[in-house]
Amino acid sequence: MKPMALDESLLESHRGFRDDRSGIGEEFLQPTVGSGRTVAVLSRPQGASLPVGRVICHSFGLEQVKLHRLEVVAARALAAAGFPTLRFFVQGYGDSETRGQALEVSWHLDGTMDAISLMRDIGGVTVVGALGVRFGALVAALAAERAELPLLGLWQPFLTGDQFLKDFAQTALFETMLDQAVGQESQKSEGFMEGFGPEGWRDLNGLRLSRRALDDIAAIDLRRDLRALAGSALVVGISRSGSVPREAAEVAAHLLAIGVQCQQEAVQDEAAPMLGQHQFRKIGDGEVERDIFHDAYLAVAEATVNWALEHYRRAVPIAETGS
Amino acid sequence: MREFPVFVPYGDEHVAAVVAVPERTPRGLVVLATGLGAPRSHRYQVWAVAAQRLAESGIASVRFDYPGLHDSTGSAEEIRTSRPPTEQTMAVAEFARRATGAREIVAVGNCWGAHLAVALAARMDGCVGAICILPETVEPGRVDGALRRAAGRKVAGLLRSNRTLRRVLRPLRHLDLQAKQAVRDLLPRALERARVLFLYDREHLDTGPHEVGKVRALLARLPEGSRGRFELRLISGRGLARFGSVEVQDSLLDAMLEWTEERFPRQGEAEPDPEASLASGAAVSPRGVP
Repeated sequence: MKPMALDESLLESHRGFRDDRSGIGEEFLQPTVGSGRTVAVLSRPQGASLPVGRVICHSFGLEQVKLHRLEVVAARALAAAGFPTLRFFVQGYGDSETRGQALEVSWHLDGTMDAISLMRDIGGVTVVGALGVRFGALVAALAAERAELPLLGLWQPFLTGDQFLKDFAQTALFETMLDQAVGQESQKSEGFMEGFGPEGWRDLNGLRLSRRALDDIAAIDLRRDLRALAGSALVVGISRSGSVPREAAEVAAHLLAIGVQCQQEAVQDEAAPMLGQHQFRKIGDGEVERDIFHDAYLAVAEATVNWALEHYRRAVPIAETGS
Repeated sequence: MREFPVFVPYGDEHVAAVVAVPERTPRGLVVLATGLGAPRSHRYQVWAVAAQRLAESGIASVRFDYPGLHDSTGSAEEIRTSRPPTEQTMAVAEFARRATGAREIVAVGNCWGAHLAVALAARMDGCVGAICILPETVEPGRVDGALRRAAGRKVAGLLRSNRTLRRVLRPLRHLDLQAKQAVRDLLPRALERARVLFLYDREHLDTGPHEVGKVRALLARLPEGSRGRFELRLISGRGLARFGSVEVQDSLLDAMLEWTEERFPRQGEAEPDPEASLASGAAVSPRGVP
């Protein structure tokens, strides 16, 4: 029997969906960001869109996987409130064209700049803002400075790359210990900054981590790197206590110091210290796994939508909003 | 290779997926399922790399996000692990088969996804094979269940917190382990018509001999033809459970590609005869393991 041909029209007709319950639609895009093609998702309201679009920047390494659902929840909530929102994979992540290579920090920044350009080209969008979580917040802030964006939303941000790396290293160390606990052969524990091969990267629990990426992350310091930023910003901190964590508070203080109108929001959640790690935990008889970040993600999305609705008018020329 | 990201409708929800197709007419289709929590491209893009390598060999693939997770719609605040989304996975597989024109399927999955892989082999026409990476094959038996019900949460908590008690009871619990209901139901059905490969790394084979023993016992009761379709392989590298080393990722991809290529013979090639290639006794022994 002769095999049937590829049905491209079937595939193309399923690139998106419309959901009447939430009032949004989503569409898969395959833009070029950085050095290659990638996959992005554009969330939009079913009705008229507001003229402000958002681009979400993901975190670094395995955190991109662990925090992805926060991006999805926030994008859909923003779209339901009227804001077109784009999430995408930086080269080296997800469905992007670059696969199985050591990650570069420049891929995050270049990719985000291309994603911002893409959002600017979307019909009806006149103003673009950036959002990001953890390392993605650092990227969003740097891209906002570079692209002169008037709106910036930061979820659990760090003030410096070093702060992020310390936290990232702790999680990596924990994963290494888990692997060693399972295996009989004890692997020699190397320092986080050691063991780079001739190709310039080391195998960190399956992640190709390059020396250059570590250096580039460590070089980020928002106190020095953010100078010209203007407009409105939101800093959301997630903690067990319900107060904004120190690193996030430092970011907010710096933004205020350079003249950004910065709003701080705190989300109280028991799972806060685990943010960026595996989101499912066994409960009850062990047959049920619970998403421990479910409520926190909804709360972050709600805070972001409230801020977005409150502040977008200031960022848009008066004639466009009709007010 | 060309890739098509799609939302596959299922009921009121949409399952996010990427269909990857080779430049030429595909020899077959591989359905790539993940463990719970991982996205369609999997940790460190392992499934995205798999899709690329499969396409280079003329094989199409589809990878997808579970309902309520990642880009799929729906909510998954709590997930019952004994009920993986088999129907949704079959809907994705059928969609991809229709779109690519491929007739035959090999299903691949790790942990939770391994259960789905064997379910597809048992239930889908044209599914010629399943690769199960570190499948969860056993569950506590009747004694454990009765003890839990009788003792209640306080005693269970005591058992969890007391290392000595746990050590004393461990051999008893191992004796009480039984093959999971899903394995008991699905594996024999799958083996009636499809090949099934269980993949382990050394550390999991060493720490889980009771699991392999239960599967071996289950297989021993099957007809010889079914037994001959089962294979267990050991792959090199550490940390298969979390794809925790580059070496294990590469070994996994090599093993997967090799085994899948055998399931989809190129034109003019015949698939190896299972009776000839695997003696029934050897079929349940891991490669490289005495």
